[in-house]
Amino acid sequence: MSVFSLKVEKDRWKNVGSCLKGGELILSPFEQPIEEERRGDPDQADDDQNFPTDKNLCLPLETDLPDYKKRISDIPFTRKFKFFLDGSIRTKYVGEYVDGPISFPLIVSEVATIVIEVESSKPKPAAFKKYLYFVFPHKDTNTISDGAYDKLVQLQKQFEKQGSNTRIDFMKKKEVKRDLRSSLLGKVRSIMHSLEHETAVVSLQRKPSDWLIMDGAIRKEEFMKLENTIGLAKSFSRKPLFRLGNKTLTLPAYMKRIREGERSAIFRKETATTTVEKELVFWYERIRTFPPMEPLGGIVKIDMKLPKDKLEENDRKLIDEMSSEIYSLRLPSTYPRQRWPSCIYPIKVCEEYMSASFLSRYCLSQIGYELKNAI
Amino acid sequence: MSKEVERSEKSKSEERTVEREAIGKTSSPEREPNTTSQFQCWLEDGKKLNPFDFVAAEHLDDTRTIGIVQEMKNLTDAQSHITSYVSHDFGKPQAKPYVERVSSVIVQVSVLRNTGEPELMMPVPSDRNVYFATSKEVRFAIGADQITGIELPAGVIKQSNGDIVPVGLDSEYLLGPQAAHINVSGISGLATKTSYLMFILLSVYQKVDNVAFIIFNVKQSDLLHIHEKNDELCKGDEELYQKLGLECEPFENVEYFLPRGVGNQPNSDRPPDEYKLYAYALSDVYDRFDLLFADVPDPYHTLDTFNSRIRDGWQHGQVVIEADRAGRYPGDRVVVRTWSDLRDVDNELLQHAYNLHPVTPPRIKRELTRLTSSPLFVNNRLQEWVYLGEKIKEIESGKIFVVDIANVHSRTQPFVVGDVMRSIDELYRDPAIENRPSKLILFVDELNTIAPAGSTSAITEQIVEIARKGRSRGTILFGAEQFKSDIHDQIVGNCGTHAIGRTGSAEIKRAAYAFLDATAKQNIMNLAKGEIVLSTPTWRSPIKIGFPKPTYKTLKY
Repeated sequence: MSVFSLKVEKDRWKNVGSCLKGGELILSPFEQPIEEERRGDPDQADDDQNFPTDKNLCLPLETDLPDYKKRISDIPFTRKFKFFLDGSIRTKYVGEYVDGPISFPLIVSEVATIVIEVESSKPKPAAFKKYLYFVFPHKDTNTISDGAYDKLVQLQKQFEKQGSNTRIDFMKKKEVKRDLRSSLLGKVRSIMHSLEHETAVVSLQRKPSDWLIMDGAIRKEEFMKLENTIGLAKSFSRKPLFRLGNKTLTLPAYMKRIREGERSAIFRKETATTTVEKELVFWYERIRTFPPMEPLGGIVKIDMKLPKDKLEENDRKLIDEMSSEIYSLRLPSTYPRQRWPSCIYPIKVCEEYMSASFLSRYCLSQIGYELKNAI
Repeated sequence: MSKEVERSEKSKSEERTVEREAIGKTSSPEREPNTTSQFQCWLEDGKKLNPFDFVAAEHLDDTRTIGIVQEMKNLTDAQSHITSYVSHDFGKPQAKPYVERVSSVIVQVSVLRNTGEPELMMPVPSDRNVYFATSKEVRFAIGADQITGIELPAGVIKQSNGDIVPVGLDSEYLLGPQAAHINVSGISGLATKTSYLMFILLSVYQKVDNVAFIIFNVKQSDLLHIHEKNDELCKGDEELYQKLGLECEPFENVEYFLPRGVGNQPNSDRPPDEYKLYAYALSDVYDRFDLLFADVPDPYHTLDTFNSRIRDGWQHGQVVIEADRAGRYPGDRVVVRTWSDLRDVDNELLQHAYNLHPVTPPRIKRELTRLTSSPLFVNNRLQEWVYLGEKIKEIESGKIFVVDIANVHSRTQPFVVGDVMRSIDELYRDPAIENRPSKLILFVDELNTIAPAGSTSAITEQIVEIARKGRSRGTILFGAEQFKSDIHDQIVGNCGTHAIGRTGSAEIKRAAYAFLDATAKQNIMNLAKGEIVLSTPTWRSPIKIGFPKPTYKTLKY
């Protein structure tokens, strides 16, 4: 990542526009909000994909817990969590690009990832990456001309070689899920997760004893390869069902039992097919009660790699200590931010850091004009 | 650009980098943007800064904007107090957060000057390095290069990084003609008002020619040994004097005038070895009864009539009081030469002679007795006793007259001061007097007792006159009092330079301090002993200064 210079990047945006010569760019209104503000909770949506309706039953690895819960707030622990990883996106729908009979939505996204290190109780940035991405449909989607596509591929290579802050990527047909615009956003999220992984692996020097908390669920296999890493999600799917003895409970029904400072039993999906599903265990924990509160308010979901069929005593001890440490992470609070009862402060610092690094809304909108002028 | 110039520019830039360590960066957020008059910066963790420190921020065209720290805020990312409350587990003081909140000290800086040529008064942009200002920059910021008169050492700025920068006042703004006078106020004991005024006086004494000084001593023997060296000066003080370009020596050419007391002894505490007693015979002040009766209410101007009749009738060292020619009180006539004579005049004679109401003569005599009953008022002044009015008119350049009024009764003190003031007025009005000093400094402590706010007395008028006209004719008032609001507003208004020591919250809110902004007022309330905030017309912002201990002896009690 090189030093950001608006002048240099503007020239690069013009180059992107030049690749699209021959078509027409119909700009979206300047006032239109950024894409992330228009969409629902992406973390929950991502997690929903892990629990399709026919594969959402979860079985406990601990069957001896009274009422399938355990108080963890009093368990002593030594600090393990030193690093906190998060990623963020800010996307502007630039407008619709029309080239004869074909067209595609043109989006530009700022993608940032950061690791915050907590040393002597003070948070500080340990690794940071940020790029501005133009994500185009791949030519196999038949929404972009071959000529434009080829030019963009050349430019993509050029940008990578230069270590540019502006990058280009493409979304293949198989990645298209719903409409093109939403799918492009999904592609950006995928880019962000890759960048998160890169930040955590390449940019971060950590000792074997240092644990990393990544914001959100562990979804990708590459994250499973990260040692001493857990995923901590404040937004998660409501779809899983839990087999507790002879009863099957929904998530809200189960969480209703969990009091502040208690964790659930450890679970794994019954029908685990992927490596992630096979090796991943998860549990829930209530870090805050602030009535009136919905049943899942103050609940966090923790994902951890545990490639064993049975929990050993050491694993339970580790999970209990980690749960207790996660409980202590509720302070300082991030009140009154959205979902504050389930948010931990270092992740908030991550978000603030990335937010401060993003271009202003006005600057982001300027990109459309640069492209249009070049076209 | 030639290679030489390039090299020189490069070396300059390297020099700056090597010499200076940035302490923070400017910040101009959407809601609190930098303006032409102030900028803000955040401070690097661990760096220490205080109000009144001077900082320099990088600006456009390789210029720097120098400013003075006004206010500092410790900002965290907690949105409200409730956020902090919630962060301690809903109000549990013993709750220990896992992580410390992100916080930073935000510094508000008042812009003083930009180094550009011409000066660049645009707001300082965001994200520019901020440094402690160098001595050169501090002096530039306060306009040391624009001094048109003589630079009079006024103290030192002590920066939080340990730098000590001498600062000076422009003589043209302290001693005229651009502006004049200095006033010091502040809580007794904490503000070190007298010490500071004496320090400024020493500056003028050592740096300006053709100046004479009249000092009123109002506290014990505070200023009765200013010709003797202070044995308690430490090395640090001597170094400060050296840094300020002043000699660490007591005053020379000092004459002490002590009030005559009982048994012809001075009515003073621990008098100096050499002095002269002063006293008042009727013949000295027969024309200054308005000053003597200054605190006596005179709604019908009857006292005024009496005063003018005495003044107008005085001839050859006496005044003759006689009844009118209409014969209502024929034959009676009395010759008055002394205070006793005047106190003994028959009431009826006085009534008829000056056409007064019957109740007036007893009242006049009662007041006269009350006011002239001290040993200071003598029937016959011996040759070795002096009348201050005469001595004032003989004052020469380089001379310092110290007039002790510390033990003079409070009802007589204004008269002594007023009499001196009127003599000065005469000194500068009388074309016959030659060789008078071009500047005469009058040091008046406890100014509020002599020229209180709202007063219309003759003495107040006398002081106001000096405050009003002194700038052009060279009579300069060095005044001090605890509360600026207690002195006449024309004195405050005509005073160019103000020095303020620690001041209480109730006082600092008054109109007399309107020239200070809210943060400066807050900082003044927190000043330590010996710290002074100085404001002068050539500076864009008040500045906190320190100064060394006096060079002269101060006796301990």
